[in-house]
Amino acid sequence: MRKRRALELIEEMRRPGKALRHPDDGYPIAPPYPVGPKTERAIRSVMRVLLPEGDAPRNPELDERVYRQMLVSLQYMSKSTAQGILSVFHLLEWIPVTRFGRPSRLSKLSRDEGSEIFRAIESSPLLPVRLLLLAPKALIFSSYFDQPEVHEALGYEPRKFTLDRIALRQRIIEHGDADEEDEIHHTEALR
Amino acid sequence: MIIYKQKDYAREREFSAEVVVVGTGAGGAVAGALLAEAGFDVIFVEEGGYHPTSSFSPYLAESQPRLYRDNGTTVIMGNPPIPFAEGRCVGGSTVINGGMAWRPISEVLDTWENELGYEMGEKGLDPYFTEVEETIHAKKQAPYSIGDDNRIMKKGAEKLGWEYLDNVRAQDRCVGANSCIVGCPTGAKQSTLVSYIPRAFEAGARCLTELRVDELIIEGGRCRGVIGRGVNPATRQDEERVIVRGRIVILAAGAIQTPNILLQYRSLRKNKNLGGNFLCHPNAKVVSRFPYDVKGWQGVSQGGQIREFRDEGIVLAENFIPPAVMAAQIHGHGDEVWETMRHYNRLIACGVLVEDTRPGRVTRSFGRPNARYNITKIDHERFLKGVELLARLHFEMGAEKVYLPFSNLTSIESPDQLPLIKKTQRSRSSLELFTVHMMGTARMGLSRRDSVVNLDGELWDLPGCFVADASLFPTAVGTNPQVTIMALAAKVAERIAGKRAAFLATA
Repeated sequence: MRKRRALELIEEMRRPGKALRHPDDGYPIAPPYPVGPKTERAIRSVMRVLLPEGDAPRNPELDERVYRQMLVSLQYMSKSTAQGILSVFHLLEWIPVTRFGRPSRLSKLSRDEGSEIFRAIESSPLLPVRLLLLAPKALIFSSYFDQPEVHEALGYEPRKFTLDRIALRQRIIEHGDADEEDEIHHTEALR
Repeated sequence: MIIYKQKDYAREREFSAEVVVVGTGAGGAVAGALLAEAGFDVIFVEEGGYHPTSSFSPYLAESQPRLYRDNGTTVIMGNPPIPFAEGRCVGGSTVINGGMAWRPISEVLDTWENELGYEMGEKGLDPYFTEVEETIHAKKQAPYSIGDDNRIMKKGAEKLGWEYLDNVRAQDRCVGANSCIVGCPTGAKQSTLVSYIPRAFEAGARCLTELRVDELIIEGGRCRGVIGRGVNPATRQDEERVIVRGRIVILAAGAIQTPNILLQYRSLRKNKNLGGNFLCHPNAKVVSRFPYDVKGWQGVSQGGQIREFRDEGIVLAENFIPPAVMAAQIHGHGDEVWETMRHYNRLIACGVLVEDTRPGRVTRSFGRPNARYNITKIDHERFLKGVELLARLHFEMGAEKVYLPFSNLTSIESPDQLPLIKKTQRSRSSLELFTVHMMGTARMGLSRRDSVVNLDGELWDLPGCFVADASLFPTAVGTNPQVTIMALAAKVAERIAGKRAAFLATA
């Protein structure tokens, strides 16, 4: 009985799936990290400056998904890391008040003004100053650049490609080696 | 039951086995599987969840929380700070690594043999390497798995007359889905999830998942098990206290978590080698933009390595990454990053891996590990040279722009600008690094004076407690460490099996 269960489990461990964004494997994903209104304002003001505009995909629903995904990500970090990152968002929100002559919070500034401040942070000769943007940028971009609209805009179709390769491997297992047309070529010069 | 989840600890909070293995990655899975096959009753304890191949997808936002420790936000402190990644799931880091299966270079094994004896040299370790390589199907890639980014690297190396080696990888009919870092969705990469863990289950092992080990049970001067907390995957809160008793405990939680468990005991902290000798093969990323589509996300990540500069401690490798990771590494923000990322299909990503010249240290504070590591002047010079070499190769192959890992020189647009690298890079702090190869913090040795464990893998200061992960390495291996971890874990398992009667008699 145990042996049979083990063999079933092993088969399950190795069986490829459908490369779904939200796999149905019974593993519950945590809810978003709870934050208060001030923290939310700080996060959203940093998002406003960090995320691209122009021809980059942006709409309120997409922004909401990015924001939510960021908070879910925080749940999987250690508490001290998550709280540290949230403190950095607050710090970034308040850093502009130190500007001589034009004190204001980040959320009250225009996107261009905020961008100017972030540029100064990024190019600071002081490592601790530069590090201020590291975690917020990683958190926001890892969420934004994983959204379907963004993938489409980049010409990145990972699921379709993955499913094709799963099918190819199955074919190789069943019928032997692959054909020449299964090779991956995009540039003739590299053949 | 074979796999337990956190919700199961509500009704069962005490377990016992002959061997308790903490961790299911390259070290733990191998040691546990071989001992289960040798007839031991084995129980694995894994902090992460169980995610079968069918749950893997190329999407990072949901894969990272499932598979990575702290969602990939772990950092080694120092100048510069070095973010690192390690797996937290059944299969450990083998689920999210590139699957490289290189043995250490001969010079490394010669050093080990000279310092520790024949059994730690090339010939002494050969049977263990062979066992491991057969199980994980260590071999080169088939042509249908290679993408254009790898071709650029290979052709560039040929053009410049540099030695290029096709990578040996843990893979069975890999088709180049390029999802190694989020779990191979085809099942081709031979992580321990699909290789050693199934062997262990077939031989009767059990696995307690979603259970973080906090303490060891030490009775009568021997290690007798572990105590952990179930971590609720839906709330991330610590819940049930679970006791797992065993006659032998094998720690295989990686070179940062393993010393962290041990360092809480004053009797073990007395050995100053514990947590020391922390090595991490730091690496720097170089991204290049070509005037045509490369689609680096199609085809295997890391099809080969440039070993031409190995004697100088530099290895160069292609290593493509999904947009969610790439964007975070591109300098700037907002529209500037989009301007680069909109050409994602024309980008290729490569890395400079540098062999350590001075170790750091892992300590423990407030229950958490604190890894510290500073690169040396020599390391810094190696990085500058490695980055320059990669940039030169890509310009040679027609790149129109190369993005550099320096905060004060973020990109160059022609080979004429290569001298700027040496000219502008005076400080280590402007270098942006990353690593996945943590090693050496509970090194093997011949005496307590210069090591933490003996050649059986058993702690000098805690009988019954073994180590079977990259912590064991006496020195850096100079290449991807997975196979070496596996081989040393196989060696530890063989030693334990050979002394079965003695170990069981201590019960």
